[in-house]
Amino acid sequence: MESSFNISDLIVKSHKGELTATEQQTLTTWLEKNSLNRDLFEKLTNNRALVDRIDLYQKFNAEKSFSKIDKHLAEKKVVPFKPVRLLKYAATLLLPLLASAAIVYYFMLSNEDAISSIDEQVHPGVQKATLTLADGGTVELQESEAFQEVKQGTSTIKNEYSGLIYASSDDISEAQAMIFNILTTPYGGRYSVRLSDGTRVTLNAGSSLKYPVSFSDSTRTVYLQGEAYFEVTHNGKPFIVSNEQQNIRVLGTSFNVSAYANEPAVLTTLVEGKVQIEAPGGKAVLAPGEQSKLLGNQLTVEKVNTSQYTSWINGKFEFNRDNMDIVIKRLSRWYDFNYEFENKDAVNYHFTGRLDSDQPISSILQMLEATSNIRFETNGKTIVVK
Amino acid sequence: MELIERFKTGDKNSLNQLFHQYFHRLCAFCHQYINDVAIAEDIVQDTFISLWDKRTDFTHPQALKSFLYTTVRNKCLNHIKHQLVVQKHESSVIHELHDDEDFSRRVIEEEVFGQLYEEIKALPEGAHKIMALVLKGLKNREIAEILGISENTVKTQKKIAYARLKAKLDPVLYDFLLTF
Repeated sequence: MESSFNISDLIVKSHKGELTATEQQTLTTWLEKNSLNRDLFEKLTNNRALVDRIDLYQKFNAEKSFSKIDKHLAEKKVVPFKPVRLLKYAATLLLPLLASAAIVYYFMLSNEDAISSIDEQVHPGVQKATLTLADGGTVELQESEAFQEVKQGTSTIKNEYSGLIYASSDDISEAQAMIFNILTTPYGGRYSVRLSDGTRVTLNAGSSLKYPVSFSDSTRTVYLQGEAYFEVTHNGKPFIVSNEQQNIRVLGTSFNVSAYANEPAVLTTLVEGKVQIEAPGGKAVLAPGEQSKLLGNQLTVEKVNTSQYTSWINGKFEFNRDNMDIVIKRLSRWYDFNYEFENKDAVNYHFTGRLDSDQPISSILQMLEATSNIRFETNGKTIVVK
Repeated sequence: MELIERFKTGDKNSLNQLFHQYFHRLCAFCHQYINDVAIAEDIVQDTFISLWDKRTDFTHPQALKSFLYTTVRNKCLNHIKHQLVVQKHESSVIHELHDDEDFSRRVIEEEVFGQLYEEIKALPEGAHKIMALVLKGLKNREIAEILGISENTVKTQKKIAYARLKAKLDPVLYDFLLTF
């Protein structure tokens, strides 16, 4: 089958006049093989055939089909096991596995009813956000929910499955760059936006991003509160993520910024590329795998496991010896619940583990109970840590 | 990170991306054997579910692409065999499905057309709509009427579309678009 892909590439190349002598020979050999190949080649350069094919494409509904798949995958949680690997490690793994399963099962039984009642009121977050237009008008956004295209100056905004999309515009006038939109996610909501330069920003719960509908010539500046993952398109112009405490200056790169007002520190985690942090207290340049922490006026840099800070975009919570108050705070943004620590010591308990963020909150609470000394009680939308 | 790398780690966004890249060409491919839009969609959906289950197996984009076409082919075959049992009549499609040479040509066909379609889809929305009408062979004046815009806007949008396509598309397709 690889040869089919090679031939398709060669056909494309031949029209570009980019074939090398060897490639030309390969294509000729293929064409001389039989008349069916020659017929196909002719068809592939025929206008009418292309138009017919595009008409046929229009009959298939990609969005509907994808949402069916998505639903199916969400329903089945079982990850296929590799039997070979299982056998290999069975001896060492099975015993502790059984032991921890027993513990989890025990606690699930003991507190199941008390906790699972919260699932009726507290749900995993979904793709949702509010878009504030330049004139102050707002649009409520939901994943893949079509809305009428919105015009902002000469720019067009669409809402698609992948999120909000700002059409790349050839109008990079100052006037367009002065038109700002704000994307705001509530607790229990996330949303993605593709800006006019192609940069993709995924906004975590309880966050907001302010940006111009089109970028003017010199720099690209956006304003962030809360947490977002940036995949910045390289186009030679600096991209600046600004908030009250610091500026992040980048060219083209991927990184995560956590700048919640109710967190003590601003964390910038670089996945790839290079960024410069500019804070009143100093500057720092990050290399991939490094994280800067701005606490008050103090800027420090350390090496981290980046996936711990970026896994949320793939629907996972990853904790690594994090204090329970951090764990609960992160959960509360996604599940949108209130909480209080009745047991003040519990604040300093650690938790390490990976959790799927689409499971019911009760499963997560049971998991936390099973792996530490804390107990939860629920009261409406409030979770009390005992 | 490469798309395939992200896909292996279980990133749903990369599944979304792969799906939108291959959905139409796989449906069209399937439709060549089974002349039914809904069944073609079902088969392609199933194929992507299998792809997701096997996501850790792929190290090369071509292997992933091969898997998609081969799985669709097998599912078509199964579907038609099942139909034959139900309807009790002979089908020439079965022979075509068993013919590797024929299969290979159909893959080439979908890959070349599919690439072109991707490029047209990637155009900005206004230009995209106009190009769809251009491809149907409509004149600027007719396009302007249908979309309720001025003939000059059509001309400008076409220029933008051509400029973008020229940068991305292979020249034969570009040349052929210019003939409209």
